Amino acid sequence: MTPRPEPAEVRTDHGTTSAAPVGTTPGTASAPGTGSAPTDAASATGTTPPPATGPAAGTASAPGTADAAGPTLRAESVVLGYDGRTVIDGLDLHLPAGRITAIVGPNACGKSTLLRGMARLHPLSGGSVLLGDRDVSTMSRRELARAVGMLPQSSIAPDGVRVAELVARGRYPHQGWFGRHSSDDDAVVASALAATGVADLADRPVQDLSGGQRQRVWIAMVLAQQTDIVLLDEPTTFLDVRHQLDLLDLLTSLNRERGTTVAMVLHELNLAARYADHLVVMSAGRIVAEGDPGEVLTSDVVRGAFDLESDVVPDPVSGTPMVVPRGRFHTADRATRPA
Amino acid sequence: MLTSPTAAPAGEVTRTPDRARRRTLVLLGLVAALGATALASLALGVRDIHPAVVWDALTGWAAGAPLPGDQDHRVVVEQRLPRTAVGIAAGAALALAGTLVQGVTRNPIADPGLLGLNAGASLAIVLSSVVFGVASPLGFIWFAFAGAAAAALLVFSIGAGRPVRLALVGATVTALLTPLITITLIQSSTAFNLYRFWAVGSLAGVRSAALADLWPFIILGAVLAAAMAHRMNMLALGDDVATALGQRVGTTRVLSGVAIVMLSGTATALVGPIALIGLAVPHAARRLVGTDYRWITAVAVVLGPVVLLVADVIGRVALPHSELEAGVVAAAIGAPVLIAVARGRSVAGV
Repeated sequence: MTPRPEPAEVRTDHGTTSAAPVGTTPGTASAPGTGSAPTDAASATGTTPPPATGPAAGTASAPGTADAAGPTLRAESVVLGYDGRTVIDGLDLHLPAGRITAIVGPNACGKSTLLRGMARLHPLSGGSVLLGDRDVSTMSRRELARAVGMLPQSSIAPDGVRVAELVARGRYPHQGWFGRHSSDDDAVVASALAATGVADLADRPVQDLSGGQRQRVWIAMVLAQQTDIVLLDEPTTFLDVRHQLDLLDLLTSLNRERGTTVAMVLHELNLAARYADHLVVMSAGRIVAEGDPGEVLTSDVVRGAFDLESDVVPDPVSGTPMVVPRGRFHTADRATRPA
Repeated sequence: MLTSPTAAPAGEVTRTPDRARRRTLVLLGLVAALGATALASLALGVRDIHPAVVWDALTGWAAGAPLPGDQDHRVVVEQRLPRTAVGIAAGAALALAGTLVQGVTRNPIADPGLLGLNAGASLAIVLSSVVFGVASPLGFIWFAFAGAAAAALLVFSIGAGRPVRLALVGATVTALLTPLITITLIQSSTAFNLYRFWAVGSLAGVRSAALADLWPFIILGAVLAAAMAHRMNMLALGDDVATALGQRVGTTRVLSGVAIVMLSGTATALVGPIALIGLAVPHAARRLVGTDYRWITAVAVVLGPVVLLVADVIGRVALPHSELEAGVVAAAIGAPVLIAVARGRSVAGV
């Protein structure tokens, strides 16, 4: 039940021992903490941008080295709620630097609220969010936006806006009042377009794109923000399975090539287990388990969080845990029963 | 779709030279058009004045020479010149306010009237006549401005935060004030006479003199609007994205509100509620230069005066020996523009 080769980290170090896998191209090196065997989907499917994008990506944000993984983002006994109704009451979460964290949990468990609270999109009723050792509430929004990127669920692409234009708006926190474009901005935008594989679409109106392409464009916008930390609220929702994989592969390659810390809310448990270095399972406003997906995702945890009976088997592709849910119908013994 | 990304040279990806050149040409063309309409506004009118006389009058005025007794000279310098100045100022202010309202509410059919500004100004004018006995347009300018500001303050303080709520509260305030205006008008014929000339929207008359008092509001509002333009670009992506990109969305709304009140309040006080400029000009600008509010703002500030002056000039020459109010002509020009824009695809691009 522990198919992953390396020792699991459950609620342990955050950025201290994690060697951020940077500058490596998919398939050439196995990044620590991801369990990327040669069978790893990210390198095997060939859908990730080819290694040639590595240097292009480097022009925008110099690929950090292991020590330059950037500060960690962590929530300390945060309290979050809506109109007096408390959703999360005293929760701690550390996002390991240079790693991919996935937050899963049933609907209304507070996972999106938590992510929004960490990005300062939702006011804290208590506790604090720390970037490194700085309380983010003491930072200006602009300063925070240069360190933490956030792609919320509710993003609107105005009709007629072109891909490159939208991506260029990610430069906002680096610009003055009138948003004068510098050649530096152009280089960063070009690199973000290339890294997300939408350079060909630069001149197209965003509303003409498919859902998968559009989501890549939004990611490119967040990349243009040049932050060490990127938070994404359900980035794969509304995408079909192939585009879900595309997107998660893209985020993985960004994480490996640029050392970007990624944290995202996901619905699809099996993809979360496959792509996350650090899996956080939430239920009713609390974290019920977190750590290496291989250790965290068990039948008991799934039952506790989702009130769902399931078998957890190794994913035949990645070796990570795969949740096979049991419903009221269609269990094997009934299916084999003659009509 | 995951083909190997093309290594596009920096710069070309974000700003195609063609589009940048097109935008610049559009803006230059509009500036030229503004020059032409301003000249037309000085040269044309009910009174037939030879262009050479107009030129003499203007050069004489520019040189600071005392006005000759010639009636034609007086018409040019004392009526057409201030009227043109008011047209430029009010047209720019209405267009800028409309651009800001649409940006800040993300509502393509928003105009300053939506925020209750016109209703507030109307009620203030009517009351100033009934309560304080104000009998001339020059007397009610400040009342109109104060009424517009008060209504906008009320709407912003209740509806702050959510664009939809803002529009709802604005509509409610308008619906509340309108019957009050009607009741007062029914009971006072002097108020009615005063009001009807203002309400139709016109550049004629002594209001021109009030520009001397109110121009600082327009300048201040325009500077603020220019500073808000790039913020509107972020706001267009939704409050969450704008916030995540480092913008203080609340501050943007408040500053925009202040600019809207200054611009729209002044323009409405000066020329009456000419709604279609604030509504149609931002859409036309969007059609011409795309979704970047910095360009939309730059185009609107030139296109607004062009439309208002053209409307005014047409109104002056359309009927023999009398004038058609600019508000009427602007509506006649603006409506087809809006319909054309609505039939195009970029109507919701706010």
